[in-house]
Amino acid sequence: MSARPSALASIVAAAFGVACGALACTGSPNDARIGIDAPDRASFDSVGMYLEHRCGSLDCHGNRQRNLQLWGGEGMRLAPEAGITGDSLDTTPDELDASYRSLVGLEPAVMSAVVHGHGNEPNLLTFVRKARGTESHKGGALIKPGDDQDKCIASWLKGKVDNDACTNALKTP
Amino acid sequence: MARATLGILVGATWFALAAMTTSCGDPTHSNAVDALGPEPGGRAPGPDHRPGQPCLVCHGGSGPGNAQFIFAGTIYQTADSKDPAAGVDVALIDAAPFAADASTGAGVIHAKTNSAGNFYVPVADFAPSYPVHVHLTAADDDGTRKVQMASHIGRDGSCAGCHVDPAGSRSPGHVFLPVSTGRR
Repeated sequence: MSARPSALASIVAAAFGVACGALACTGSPNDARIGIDAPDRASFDSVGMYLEHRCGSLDCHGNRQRNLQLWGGEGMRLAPEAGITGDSLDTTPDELDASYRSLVGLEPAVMSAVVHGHGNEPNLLTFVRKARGTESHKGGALIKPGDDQDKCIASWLKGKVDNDACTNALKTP
Repeated sequence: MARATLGILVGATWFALAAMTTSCGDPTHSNAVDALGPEPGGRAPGPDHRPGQPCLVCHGGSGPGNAQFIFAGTIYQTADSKDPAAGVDVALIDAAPFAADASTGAGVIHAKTNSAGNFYVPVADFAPSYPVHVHLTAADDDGTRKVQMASHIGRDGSCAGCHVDPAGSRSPGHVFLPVSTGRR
């Protein structure tokens, strides 16, 4: 009578072990490594070019000591593995990839929340608050709500990037 | 009673030690100053000293340099040498027209490099709206040579804060501009 519960417990334990083993062997696909709901990478090019121009100088976010790190032709390069040739100032796709990962991975939970909210509350993100100057920022207030720089970022967070605004934003010094 | 007195003494000692420790300044700044090392060649502090070093580490307001600068740096003649480029005009142009509260035109200030290639702008002379762009102009053997920094200054007034040798993915190397050698 006492052997039965013991055998049952062994079977349950074995089944549990097999289940855990099976779960452990189920790898996540590479593109789900971070697990962030963010605006997609494909729409980031014009936003990334603007951010790199405006914020990515070597003394600001073109620096490995910053939390937000931006790569590109006007600042920190991924050379030589990124295929940069000569003194080209062109930002490469690999550099845009790196900037994208840094930006969306900065506050993953908040980024996901902003995207789930259809980008209607961009101010939840620290990088937006700092750029708008509503939170302490060494570089000061760089954008105003509604200007081309702000539209560029906010539209990307809404899932429909305003490429014209991003192009205009590139003209800021 | 003796135990209580001992307790007070121990507590007071810890408090005094803690107060001394916290009043000894910013260790990050101290480390940055220490990393610059002694004065090269035993030269006295002055406008010609420590070419190529990040000037604002000491002259940025936290000391130990007395003079306080908003921008300062060193310009050399070539990418491969440390021959100083004297007489280079350094124009620093701010972004006032693009500032959130824009009401003025761009602020511009000029400085000239000395015999060590050093230039500096006292903090009292310029209060820029960042980012700041840099144009260099010098007379060379073929006339006048101008160069404009591809990027901008966002916050660090020391040229050598970013322009460190060797040139690579994280630095463009030291600043250089050929100047007249007087051979023509």
